[in-house]
Amino acid sequence: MTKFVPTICPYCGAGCGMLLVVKDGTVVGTRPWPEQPISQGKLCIKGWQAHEFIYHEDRLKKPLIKEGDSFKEVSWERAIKFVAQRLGEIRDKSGPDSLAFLSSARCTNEENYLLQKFARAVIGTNNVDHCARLCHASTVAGLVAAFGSGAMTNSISDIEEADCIFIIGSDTMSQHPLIARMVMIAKEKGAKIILADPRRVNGMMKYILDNGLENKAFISERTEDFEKLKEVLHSLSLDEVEKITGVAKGEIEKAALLYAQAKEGCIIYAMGITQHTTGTDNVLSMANLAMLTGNIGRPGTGVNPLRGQNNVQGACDLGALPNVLPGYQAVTDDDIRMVIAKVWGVAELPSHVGLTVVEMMNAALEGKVKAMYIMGENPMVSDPDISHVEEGLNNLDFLVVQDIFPTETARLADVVLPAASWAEKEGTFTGTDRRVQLIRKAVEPLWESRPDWEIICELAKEMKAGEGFSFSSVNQIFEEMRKVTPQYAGISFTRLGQPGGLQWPCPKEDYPGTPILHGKVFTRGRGKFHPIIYRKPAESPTDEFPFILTTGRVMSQWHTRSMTGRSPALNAEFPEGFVEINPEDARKLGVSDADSVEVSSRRGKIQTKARVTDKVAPGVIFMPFHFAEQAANRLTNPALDPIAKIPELKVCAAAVRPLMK
Amino acid sequence: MGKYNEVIRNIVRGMLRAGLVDEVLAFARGLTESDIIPLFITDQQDVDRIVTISYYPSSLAKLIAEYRDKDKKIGMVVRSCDARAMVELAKRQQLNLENFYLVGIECYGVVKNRDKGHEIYIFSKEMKIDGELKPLDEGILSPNCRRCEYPIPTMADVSCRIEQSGETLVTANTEKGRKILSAANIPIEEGRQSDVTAMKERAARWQDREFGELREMESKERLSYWLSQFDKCIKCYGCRNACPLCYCEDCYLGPERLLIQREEIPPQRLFHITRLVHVGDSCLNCGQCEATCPMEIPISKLYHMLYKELSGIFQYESGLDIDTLPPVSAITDEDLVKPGVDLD
Repeated sequence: MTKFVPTICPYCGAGCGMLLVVKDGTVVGTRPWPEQPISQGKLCIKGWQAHEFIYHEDRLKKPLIKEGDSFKEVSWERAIKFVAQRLGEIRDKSGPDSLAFLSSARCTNEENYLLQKFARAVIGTNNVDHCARLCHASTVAGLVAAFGSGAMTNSISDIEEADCIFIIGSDTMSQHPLIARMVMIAKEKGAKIILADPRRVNGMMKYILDNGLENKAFISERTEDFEKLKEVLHSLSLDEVEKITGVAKGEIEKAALLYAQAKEGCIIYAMGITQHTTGTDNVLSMANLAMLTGNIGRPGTGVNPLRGQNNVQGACDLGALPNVLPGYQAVTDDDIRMVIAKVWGVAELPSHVGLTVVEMMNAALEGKVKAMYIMGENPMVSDPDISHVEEGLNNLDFLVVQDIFPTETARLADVVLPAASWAEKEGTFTGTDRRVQLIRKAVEPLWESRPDWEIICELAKEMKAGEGFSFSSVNQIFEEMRKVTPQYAGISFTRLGQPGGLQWPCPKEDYPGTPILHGKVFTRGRGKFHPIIYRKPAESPTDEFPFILTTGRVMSQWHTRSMTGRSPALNAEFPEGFVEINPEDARKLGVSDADSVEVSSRRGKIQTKARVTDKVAPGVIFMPFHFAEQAANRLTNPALDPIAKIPELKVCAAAVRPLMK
Repeated sequence: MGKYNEVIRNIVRGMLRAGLVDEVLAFARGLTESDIIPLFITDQQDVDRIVTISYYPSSLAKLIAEYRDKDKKIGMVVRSCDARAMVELAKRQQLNLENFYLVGIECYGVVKNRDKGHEIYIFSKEMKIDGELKPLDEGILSPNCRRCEYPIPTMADVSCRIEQSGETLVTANTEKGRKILSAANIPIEEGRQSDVTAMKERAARWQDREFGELREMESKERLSYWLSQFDKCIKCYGCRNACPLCYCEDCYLGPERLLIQREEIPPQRLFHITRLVHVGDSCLNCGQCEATCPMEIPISKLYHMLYKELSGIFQYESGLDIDTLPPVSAITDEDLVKPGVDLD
C-alpha cells in the first residue's frame, strides 16, 4: 500500500511543498504537490531527490560515547545520563557561560525553540547561535535598522508582478530554482532583469538623485534621515564607483534608470551581499535604494533576502540567536525577560548578550568555553578557517553532537546522539518569505534515532528541569512558543492545516497573515536611511596571495553535503570540489582545465581541480564550500562584520599553484 | 461537488466491496477541498474523498508504474491520457493490464492553473464554474488538453460520461468492465458512444494553430525559438520523472552515464531532443512534462508535434490498442521508404 504525505522540502529556504511517497512504511520517492503555493507542482533536482538520503547506511543508529579513539554504542538512558552529568558539572564548576550551543537551521521551529530555551532556562547562558550567523546575520541587523523587521519584505509569489528585478549577490537559478522560476515568469511578461555586483549600489543612487528620479513623496512621507544619505552621495563620483567596481559608468547608469523608472521594482539578494565584513552596510544600501525609489510595501517590490536553508528563518524567529529571545526580543530588555521567565517557570534569564558562532570557536580555543552542544550543524565544513575551528573544538572538555549522520564535526565529539530526519517527525519550518508550514511524519524514526525535540526534553528532565520540558507532542511546544513569540501568536497547527500555511506576522487567531511587510507604515514607523561609505574587504590581494577567493554553492549539492553527498542522484551531478579560474589567469599559471592545483591563503592550503572558465573575472577564483575533502573553508577569513558578526566568507586573498601532473 | 462524483464513488465502492480489486488509485481531496492529491484507497470511508473536478495534478499511470503493489489487483479512476499510458506501459512489459480495472471518465480538458477555491468542470462546449454554466473558454485549458483528440477512454474497462446535469452514463468496454458494473449494481446495457466530432475539430484547430506557428517560422527562427526555450532548463529531470513513458531504471541522460555534462545548467542542447527520440513515437500528449517544468518550457508541444508527424507516416496511434506496437518495434521495409522517413 502506497500513500502520499504532504510535507516541505528539507533543503533551501524557498519552502517548496512535496509529497513523500511512502510504500509499506518506507519512503520510496518524492512527487510534486500542485496545491502548494511556492512550488505549484514543480520541484528542482534537490526536491525531486529529497528522499534519497533517508535510509543511507551511514545514518547514526544508536547513541555513541567516545572511548579512547573510537566510539562505543550505548543505550539512550546511559547517553542522556552522561551528557546531563557532564553539562551539569561544567556549568557548576565554570559557570553557565562556559557552555555554548549551536542550534540548527535544518531542525524545526519547535526544536530550535526548545534548544534556546534549554540554553537559557536550564543552563543559564545566552551562548546560543546557529549558522544564520554565517549567511544572513547582516540581513537581520541591517533590515531591522532600516525597516524594523529583518525578514524578506515580500512573498515569493509576488515576484512575478515586478517589472524590474535587481538581483545582486544571488545565484538564484542554482540556489533557489523555484524562486528563479518567478523571476523567469516576470521576465517573460516583460520585466527587466539586472544582475549586479554589490558595490555599485551607491553609484546607482547617485545617478538617481542627480537626475531627480527619486520618489520624493515616499521619502518625505515614510522615511527619515534622507539628508544623511544625500550628503554621502554628494561627495561621490561615478568615475570613482567605476574604478572600485570595474563596472562601466554607462552600465551603472543604465541599471539605475531601469530600476528607478520601474513601476514595481524588486530587489533580490543573498550571500554575495551579506557574507562580508561590510555585510550590514551592504544590506543597508539595499534598503536605501528601495526607499529612495519608493519600491517597498507593494506586490512586485521590496527588499528580498533569499535565505539558504529550510528553516533558517524560523531558527532566527524562535530565538536561536545570542542577543534575542523568541520573536527578536532583546535579552537585555528586563521586562521581556521577566515575562518570558514567567512562562518558562524560571526565576530569571541571563541578561547579557551571548557569543556568536565565530566567537564561540575563539572562546573554545581560549578555554573560556569548555563545553559545546551542537545540534544539526557541521562547523567543520561550514565555518570559516576550519583549522581554527578544529583547534577550538579539540580544546573543549566536552562536545556533544546531535545529528542524523556522522559529520566531520561529529567525529570530534565525546557523545554523538542519533536524531531523526525531517521525514520522521512533525513540526514546522518557516521559509524565506516568513511562511510557516507544517512538515508531516512520513515514517517512524529509523533505528534508535529520536526527534531532536524529544532528545532535548529527555536531557532537561535528567537535569531536573523537566517541568518546562514535559511536552508529549510538537503541537504542545508550538502552543507555548506562540505565547512568547508575538509574530506567531495567531498561528496554530489547525490553521496551518492548509497548503501554504501562514506568513508572519500573524498576531491574532483571526488575522490572515502578512504576505507583504511595510505596506502602509514600516514596522519601525518610518524607514530609516543610513549613509554608507565604501570600505575595503578585510583582505586585499598581495604579491604572495594575488587572487580574490570567493565561495558559494552549486545546484545539486547543499551546504556540507551531509545529506546531498549521500543522495546518489545528487552526488553524481557534483561529486567533487573544484576551483574556477579565469582562462587568462590559468594561462599565466600554466594551468589547464581539470589539472590538480593547490589553493592557499594565510590560513591554510588545499588541493583541488581547476576549472578554467570565464564565469569568473580575471583575478578572482571561486570554490564551492560543500566539499570536506577540498574544503574552501580551510582558506576563508573569519574576519567579522562589526555589527552582525558575520564572517567574510565571500572575500579572502589566495594563491593558486599548479601541482605536478 | 457531490453529484458529479457520486457514480464514480459508487463504482469504486462496488469494486472494493465485491473484492474485484484490493485497492483503487484515484484523485482525492487532500488537506482542503481544493487540494487534490493521488490516493490509494482500500477503506470504504476514503471513497468519499474521490473527486472528478477538471484539475489533475499528475499521471496516475506513472504512479502505478513506480509505486504499485505488484501482487495486487488495482482499480483506477482515469482520464483517457492515463488509460492510454497504461496501454503503452503494458505494451512495454511494464505491467499486465489483467491486474487493473480501469474506470475511465470522459475528459474534455483540465484547467492549466488551479483557480483557488473554484470548482471547475469542463464539458465539450461548456464549463461549469462553481455551479454556473458558461460557454467554454478554451484559454483556461492546459495547452495539451486543447490539442487532445481522445476525450473518451474507450481503452478503459468502463467509460463514464458525466452530463452537465450531473447524470452519468456508463459504458462497459470489456469483460472486466461488465464485472465492474455488475459489482456496482449498474445495469449493463449497450451504452451509446459519445459524439467526438466537436472534440476532434477543436483538437485539429489547436494543433493547426500551435504547430502552425512553429511550422511557419523560418528554420533559423524555429531553431532559435527552441534553443532559447532549452536554455531555460535547470535540469531538474522533472519532465523525465513525470513522463509515464520514461521508465528506464538507468537513464541515458543521468549524471552517472557521463553523456550529459555534469555540473552544468542549462544541459547540452540535445538533452530534450534525446528524450524526444526515446519517447516521441508514442507521446501521449498527457502534458505531464510541461506541467511539472519549473521553467515553463513548452515541451509537450514539441513532443506532440513530432508524434503527430510520425503518427501520420507510420499510421500509428499510441495508447489505443495493446496489440499495435510502436514504430520502433513494428517498422517494416516498406515503412523505411515512405516519404518523410528519408533513410535512403
